[in-house]
Amino acid sequence: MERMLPKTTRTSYEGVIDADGHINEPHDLWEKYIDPQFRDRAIHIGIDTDGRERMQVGGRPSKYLNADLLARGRGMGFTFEARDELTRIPYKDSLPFGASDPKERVQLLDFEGLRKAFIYPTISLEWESEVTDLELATAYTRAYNRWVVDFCAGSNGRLIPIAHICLTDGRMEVEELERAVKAGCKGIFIAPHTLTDKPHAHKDNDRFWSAVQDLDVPVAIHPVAEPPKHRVYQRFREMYRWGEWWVDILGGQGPQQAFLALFQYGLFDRFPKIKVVMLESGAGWIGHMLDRMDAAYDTPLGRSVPLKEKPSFYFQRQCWISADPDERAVSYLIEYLGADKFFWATDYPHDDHTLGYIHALDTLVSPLSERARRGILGENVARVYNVPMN
Amino acid sequence: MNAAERNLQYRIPYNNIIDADGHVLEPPDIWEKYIDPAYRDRAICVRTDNDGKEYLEIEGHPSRFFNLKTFTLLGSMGETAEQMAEKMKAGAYVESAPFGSMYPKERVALLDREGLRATILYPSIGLTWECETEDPGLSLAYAKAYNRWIVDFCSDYPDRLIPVAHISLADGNGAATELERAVKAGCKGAFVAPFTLTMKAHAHPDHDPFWAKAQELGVPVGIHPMAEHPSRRVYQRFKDMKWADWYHNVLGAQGPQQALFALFQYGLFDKFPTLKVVLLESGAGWIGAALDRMDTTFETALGKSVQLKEKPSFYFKRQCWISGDPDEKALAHIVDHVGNDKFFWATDFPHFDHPGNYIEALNNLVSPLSEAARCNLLGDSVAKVYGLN
Repeated sequence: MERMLPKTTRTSYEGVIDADGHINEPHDLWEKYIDPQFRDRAIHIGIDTDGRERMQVGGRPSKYLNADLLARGRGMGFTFEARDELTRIPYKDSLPFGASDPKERVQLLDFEGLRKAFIYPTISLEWESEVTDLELATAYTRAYNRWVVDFCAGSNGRLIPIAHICLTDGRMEVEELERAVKAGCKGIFIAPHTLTDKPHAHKDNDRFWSAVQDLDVPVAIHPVAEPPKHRVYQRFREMYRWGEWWVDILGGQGPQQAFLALFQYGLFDRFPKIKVVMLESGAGWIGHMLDRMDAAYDTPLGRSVPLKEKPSFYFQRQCWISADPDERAVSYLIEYLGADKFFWATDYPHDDHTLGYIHALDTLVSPLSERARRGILGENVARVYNVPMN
Repeated sequence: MNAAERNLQYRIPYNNIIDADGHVLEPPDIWEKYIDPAYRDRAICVRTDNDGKEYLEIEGHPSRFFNLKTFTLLGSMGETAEQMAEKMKAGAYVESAPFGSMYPKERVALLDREGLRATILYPSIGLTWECETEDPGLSLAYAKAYNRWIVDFCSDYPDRLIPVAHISLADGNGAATELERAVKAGCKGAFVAPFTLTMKAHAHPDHDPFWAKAQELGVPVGIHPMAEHPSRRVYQRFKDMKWADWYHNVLGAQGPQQALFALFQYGLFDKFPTLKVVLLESGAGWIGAALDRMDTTFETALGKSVQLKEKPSFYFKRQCWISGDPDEKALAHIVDHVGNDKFFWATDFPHFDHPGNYIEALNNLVSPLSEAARCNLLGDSVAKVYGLN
C-alpha cells in the first residue's frame, strides 16, 4: 500500500530546521541493539490482558506504556475517536509517515521545505518513569543511541541524531556520552527528573557536566513521562484519570523545575561553557520566568543561589529554548529576549500538537525582523549544535 | 533603606493607581476575637510552651509547618538577609510589623505617600493555615473570623482600603453562605487557595453553589497562592532541596497555574458565564504562552476532555483577569496581544519575596504601554472588575 504523507504544508521560508522532531522507535529496537547481557530485559511489545499492546520494560509489563500511550506517540492529527481506534491496531503496522523510515522522513522534510530535523525518540521518553536499575537504564539509552545514529546515517546530514543520556552520578553515563558523540550524536537530552532523585546540577553529577563541556555538545532537557511521585499535578484527586488536556498543558512545569534547579545549584558558574537547551516546554513563559528569577534573586532568597551574576545573565550566555510553532505570544517576546535564543520544533508525530505546524510557524515568524526570523527558523539551532546550515 | 523608604524616593506620574493585592499583617488574636463561639476553643492563637516560647496554635495543636518567628519575615520587604535574621531572632511579630502593615490609618498614610488611590487587602497569617486543617467547618469558621475582622479594618476608609473575603472550599453550600454574608458586610470579592481541603478541584460540581453565588452577587473570585501541604506541593522532583528558598519561591506560580487551568478542564465558564475569576501573585508574563498552549491542545484529541464550547482563550478574555508583578519586564510586550484590559498590578507589600522598590518598578513596567493599556493596568481594570467607584 502506498504510504501517504501527513497533511502538513510547505513553509514559505528558507533555512528551516526542526529542533525537536520525533521518531517512533521500531518495536524490536532494543532486542536488536542492546548489549547481549541485557537482552532478556530488552524493551519490547507484548500483549495486555485486554488484548491490546503493552510495552514490556525491565522484563515485565510496563506500568504506564500501554496501547493508549503508544497511540498518543503516533497520533498527531488524529481525532479522539481515531486515536482510540489506533490503540487496537498493531504498533508496527501503523507508524506514521517518516516516523520509522529515514527515507520517508527526508521526503517529509522535502515536502515541508525543511532542511534538517534533530531527532528525538518516543518510547524512550516513557521508560525512565519505571526503571530504577541504573545499569539497565544505561543499556537502554546505549541501544537507542546506537540505533538513532544508524537511522540518521544515510540522510546526508538532514537527520541529526541526539543521544539519550540517563544520569547515574557520573558513573556510567559519561562513558556512554563519549561513545555516542564519537559515534555521531550532535547533542544529548536528559529527562527533567533523575533516577537518583538528585538534581541534575548536584555536585555528584559534576563528572557528567564536565564531560559535556569538554565535548562541547549541548544538553537538552526534554519532557518525559514521569513517575507518579514526581508528577507536578498532584493537587486534585481523580483529574489525572480523565483530565488529559489539563495534564498535558502542565507538561512544561516539570522541565521548568529542572531548569530552575540548575541555577539554584550554581551550575553555570561552575561550567561556564556548557550549553543548555529547553525543549518541548513552550517558550512564551521564559521572559516572565527570567523576570521572576532575577527579582527573587534580588531579595534575601537569592542568598541561597551560588551564582555571581543574576540568573538572566546565564540564560543569555548559556541557554536556548525551543518554541512551539503554535505559540503566538512568543512573537512579541523574541526580539526583546534575544533573537539568538530561540528554536522551533514540530513535535511530529505526537498527538498534543496539530498537523498545522508549518502554517503556524510561518505565522509565528512573519512579524519578526529578518535576523530574528532566520535565527529561530534554523540558524540558532545550527550554530548551537555546530551543524552546517546546508 | 526599607521598602517604604525606598518607595518614598519615587513618585509615579499617573493617577487612579490601585494595588490589586496588598497584604495586612493580622494581629494574631483576631481569630479568638472574631470567631464564632462554637469554634473559639480551636481558634488560631498564640500560646506559650513550658519553656516560655511562643508558638502558633491551629486547630488546637501547634502549627505543623510554621513557627511564629517565621511570620516576622512576612513584614520584611526590602530588608537584607541580616536584618531578617535579626528579626527572626527577636521573633516579635507584632512589634516588628512595618509601617502600614497592621493599622488602617498607617496604611492609608502609606497609600498617600506613594500616590496610590486604593489597595485591595489580603492576609498574611491567613495564607498559611489552610494547609493545616481538613475540617471544612473549622476552616470556614477561620475564614469567617478573618472576614469579619478585615471588614472592620477597612471600615473607616471605604474608598481606600478594600476588603475581600477569604473562602475555604470544601463545603460548597457553606462557602456560598459565607460569601453572601461577607459581601453583605462589605467585602468586594473573595479569594480561594490554589488547592482545596478535599482535593476536589475548585470547579468540581460539589462546589457549584459557591460559584453560583459569586456569579449572582457579581463579585470576582481570586486565586491567591498559599502555603501548601508538603504532599501537594508542586516541587517534589528532587530530594534534599529543602534549603533551596529561591527555587521554591520562583516556582510559586505553578500551583495557581494548575488551579486556573483546572477551571477550564471542568468547563466552569460555560456553566457560569458571568462569573469573574482573578489570578493573583503568580506573575502575568506567562499568560500569553499559557493561552496559546491551552488553545492548541484544545484543538487536538486531548481537547475532547474539556467541557467547553469555545476555545479556552475565549473564556479568559470574557471572564478572567490577572495581576502582574511590578518587577516584570517581559509583560509589557504581551499586554496588547493578550488584551490590555486583562491586567492588574500589585505591591505584595510587605512580603519579602519581591524587592521593595515597587513604585519605581511599576513606572518602568507601564511606561512603554499605550495610554489605554497603562490606565487599565494601573487601576481602571481592577476598579471595574471589583466595582470600585
